[in-house]
Amino acid sequence: MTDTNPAIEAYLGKFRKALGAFNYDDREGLTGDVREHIEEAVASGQSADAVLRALGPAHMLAKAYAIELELSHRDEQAAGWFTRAARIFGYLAVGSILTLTIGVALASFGFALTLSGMAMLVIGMTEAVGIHLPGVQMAGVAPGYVIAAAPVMFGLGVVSLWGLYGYCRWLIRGLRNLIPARLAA
Amino acid sequence: MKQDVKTETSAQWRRGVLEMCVLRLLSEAPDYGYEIVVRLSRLGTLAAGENTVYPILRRLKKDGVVTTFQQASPAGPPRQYYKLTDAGTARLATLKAEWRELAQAVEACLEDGDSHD
Repeated sequence: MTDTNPAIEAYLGKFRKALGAFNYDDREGLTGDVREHIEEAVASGQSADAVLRALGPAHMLAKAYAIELELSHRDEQAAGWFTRAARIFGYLAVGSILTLTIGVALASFGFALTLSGMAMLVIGMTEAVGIHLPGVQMAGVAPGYVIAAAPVMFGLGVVSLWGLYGYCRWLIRGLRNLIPARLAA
Repeated sequence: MKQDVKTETSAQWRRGVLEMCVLRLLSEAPDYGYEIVVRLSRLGTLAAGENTVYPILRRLKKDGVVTTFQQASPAGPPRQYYKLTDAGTARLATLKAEWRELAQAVEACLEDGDSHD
């Protein structure tokens, strides 16, 4: 593996930083492409130094990507810290309202339904075999119904928690895409 | 200085046709980045550096003319393979037709010039 080669890691670090105008996903994707190339070339018998020389300076490679993908470094740099900060603030402001609504709802439903489902299964099964747990009121409901409803409750809870997980990932990815390379790296 | 100008002009020509050559290679079978670079490097005058080929591959992917998929490598981590899409096949056909038309016109122009020399 070439992961531990300091020259390669230093090159990839410089390359990632030079991709500052790209969003997080693109930076990671492009760095992955270059890493794969270096590893293939080294595995084929070339020295790491020769491979890095052939790639050229990291900032020139990053510039070649920017030109090819018609990404204007100047526009992004002109945006500067103020615009970037405003974008992040706006994202967080909108995100926090959504997070408050969606996050609380999904977390409440998720945990409540998952735990209730598990509790109902235990209660239903113990009632079915004639064991009455202290403090449990069945209110005339047959244990069979309780056992049948338990997986449904549990499933709905898991779906809610899965939704919460997906929402958090989406939120983090969006935030990463707004942060400049030198901070995200 | 004159040599530099000539080299720069040739580089621009190569860059222009490189996209077509990459699509042509991928029309045979999907391939991964390093192998594409190696195959192009064997084409003599067309020899293109990796610092040119990878950005082009990325743009082709962005344009939707190639798509990528991961495939296990016998030595090391999975490789990212590039595959031509239907849009890529159509673009290759267009580029080939345009190139042949252009090459004929340029050749005719050069022959005409030679006859006057």
